[in-house]
Amino acid sequence: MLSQALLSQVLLNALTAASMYALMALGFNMIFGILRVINFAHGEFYMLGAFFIYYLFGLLGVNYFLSIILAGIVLGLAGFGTEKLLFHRLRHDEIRSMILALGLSIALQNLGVIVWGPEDLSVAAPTSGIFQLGQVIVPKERLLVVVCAVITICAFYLFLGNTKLGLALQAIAQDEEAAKLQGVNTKRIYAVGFGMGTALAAIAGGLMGPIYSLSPFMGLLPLMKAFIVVILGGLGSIPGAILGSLVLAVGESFATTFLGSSASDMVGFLLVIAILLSRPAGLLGEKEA
Amino acid sequence: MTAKVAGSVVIGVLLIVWPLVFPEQFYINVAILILLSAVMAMALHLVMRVGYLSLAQAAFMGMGAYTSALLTTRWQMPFIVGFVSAGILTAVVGYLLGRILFRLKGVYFVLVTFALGEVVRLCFIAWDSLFGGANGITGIPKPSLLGYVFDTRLEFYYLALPLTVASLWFMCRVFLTHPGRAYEAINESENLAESTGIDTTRYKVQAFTISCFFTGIAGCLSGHYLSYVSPFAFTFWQSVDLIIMNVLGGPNVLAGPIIGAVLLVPLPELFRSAVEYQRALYGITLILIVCFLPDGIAGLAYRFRHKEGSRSDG
Amino acid sequence: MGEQSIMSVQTLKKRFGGVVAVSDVSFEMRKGEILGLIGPNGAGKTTLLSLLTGFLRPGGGSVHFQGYDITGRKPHQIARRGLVRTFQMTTVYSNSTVEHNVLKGAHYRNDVGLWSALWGRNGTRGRKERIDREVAQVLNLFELKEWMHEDAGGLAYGHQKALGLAIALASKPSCLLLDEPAAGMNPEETRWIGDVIRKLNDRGISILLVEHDMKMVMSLCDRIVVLNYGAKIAEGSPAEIQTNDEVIKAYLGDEHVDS
Repeated sequence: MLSQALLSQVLLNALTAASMYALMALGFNMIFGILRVINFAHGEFYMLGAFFIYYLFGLLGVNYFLSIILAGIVLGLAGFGTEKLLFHRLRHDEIRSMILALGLSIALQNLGVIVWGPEDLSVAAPTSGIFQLGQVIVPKERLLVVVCAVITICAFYLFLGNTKLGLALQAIAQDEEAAKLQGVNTKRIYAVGFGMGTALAAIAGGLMGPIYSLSPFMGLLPLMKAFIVVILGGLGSIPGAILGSLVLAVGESFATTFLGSSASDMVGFLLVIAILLSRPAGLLGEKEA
Repeated sequence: MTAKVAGSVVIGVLLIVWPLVFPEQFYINVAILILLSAVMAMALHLVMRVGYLSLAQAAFMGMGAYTSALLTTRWQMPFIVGFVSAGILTAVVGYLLGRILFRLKGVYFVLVTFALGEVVRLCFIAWDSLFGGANGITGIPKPSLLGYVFDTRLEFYYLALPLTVASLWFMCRVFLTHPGRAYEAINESENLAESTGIDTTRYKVQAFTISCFFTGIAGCLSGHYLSYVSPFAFTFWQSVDLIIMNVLGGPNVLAGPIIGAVLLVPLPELFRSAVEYQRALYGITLILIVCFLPDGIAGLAYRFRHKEGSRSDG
Repeated sequence: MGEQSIMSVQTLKKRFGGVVAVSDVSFEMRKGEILGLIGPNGAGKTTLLSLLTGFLRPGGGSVHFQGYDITGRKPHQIARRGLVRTFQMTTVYSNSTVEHNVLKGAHYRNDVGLWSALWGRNGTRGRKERIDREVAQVLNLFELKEWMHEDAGGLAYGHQKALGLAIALASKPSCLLLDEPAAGMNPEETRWIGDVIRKLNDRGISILLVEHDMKMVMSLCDRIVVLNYGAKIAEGSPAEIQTNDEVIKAYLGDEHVDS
């Protein structure tokens, strides 16, 4: 049987994973909700975020929090530019946009290999040491990640609900035509939405970089997770993405213990298939282009 | 018309004769890989021509490869049994899945095929008592027909060539006849097609089933050619490569996937040392083509021939 | 009465989430008539059309067409029974030539299996010739012959709308449901479309016409059904409808909201 300490440990790991999933899923969801693009390059922005931290914080010694924020800003701008330069050409062509995202993913990943090589790199943790809560050992670095992620998510949530830009983003995600009629400048908003999405991915990557190792291929796993979470929680839903992340992370840590890792991944994907197929009306209820 | 026939005959003769003139193993190997990829890319093309994109192609390739591998190694069946079973089993699975999956449209269909591809791949790894886990299955016999073993690469080439040509012929016929016109209608507007009595589900499932059949037999052949199958050959990226071939060559004409295969397959063989440069180039090419050359290279050729070139696509 | 019914709609219902889009709509359509379906924006006209033709699944009620229960059938099955709709938006195959557009409309009538098609048996020769002849007729009727080999996407707006009708006609309907055939057309084109609809009707095709152009509706229709907020509020001859209090209220109310 699992001891209480082990159980808490598993849950703590799950919580760390959940914060990454949530950040990834929120960005992925934002891009899908606004642009109707399945961003297969989302994992690569995560990867770039981690490497950003590797240089700024790891090699140059810039403040950790500042590095994370800068990663978000710089890669957010990169996302903004990518949309302006590439994705906006394929507006409303969902399939070709997706192929474009695939191309972007392949290009960034392999440019990464050219620059950094295929081997794993690592960044020193911003903090070390542990908290001891009764029997439970909490490494400070994990706690830091969870706290930062929660702050980012809250900030994002407040931004969406309380700023003009945030409301415009939500309006477009809900009904593009209606938003246009209300005078929202959709052209600019698309790029902003994409940039916000990539910024969240970059922050996720920046936070996780010191915990896991860095490689140009590190983005694939978070992409898969974001994808599963988004389907679990419902495309376009923020609370759904957060809840989905928790469910997936906790479910996974137990499934891995009892079933092994391939089988637990498989359960995730089977769930995705089941959900996609069982609610075709709900998912297809939206207007098709 | 006669020019077309003459052209086909010339190409046909060249395809048959060249390995005898340049019998280098390297080139024959590349040629075989091109043929197999071309069949798989054409199979994906079929699905793309009804307006859908499947990311599960690698899984169907794997199904074909494992089916035949298991039948010929574990149960000592002759090649032909493995080959036929690979095609039929994959097609049946494709048919059954198609009936369900085509409830979804657009990106949702892509997402579900993506998840499906992952499930199948993980199955190959996790169910190791049957599929041999990460090691896959080794010692797959060379193809043989009526006691004749296609032992060398050259012989394999002469096995793969007619099969590829047959696949090409079959798909040509599909596009040029009644079903092809339905595909075209569905691709352009599913609602309009359905509203005038075209059973869109039937045609979509039909295209998917045929696609799975050809992907399955190509997968089977590749297993027998390499004499092993490994789950790592059937990843998501394999499916993406087939998409790249179509997009590069031209997603709207059957020549597209063939052009794509001819251009893309030799690259990794020619530049073995610089995989990342080559993949990066793939990615960038894909971005450029999808943004600036929506009809691919075949479209470019078309535009070149019809000088006015004013076919604009929304 | 005594006139034969071609379509009978009984207490048809549809909700989207919590919103009732169509509530208990019943009406009869007579063989050979032009029945108008009008109502303010958002009254549920297009939804009703989609329910009748199988593009949406009704939440209750039934539709019988020529004696067959077609409730919840797939659109292509309903179309094959002879009940064919047109669309407000996607009306043509824009990358195909005008001729091929019409041929696609006739596609199902020349249906052959995969194997027969592959071996070159495109249906019997007689059937193919008949279809070619009909396609030519349809093109003539809609005055599209001279653009026959042009891509439909390049046609003028009015011609595209006409082509939409031509595609529908090519599938040999006994009843056509037209969703705002004159939307976005100038008065002259509207008159022309009206004439065409009349011609189709003269050939024995029953027509359900959804349209905002009141002049066209009043002049063409034998009877009119009026929807408001998803419910039928009136039914009768154009003269009756024009003086119906409920109808006037619905339209005036709508105008107040609009302005």
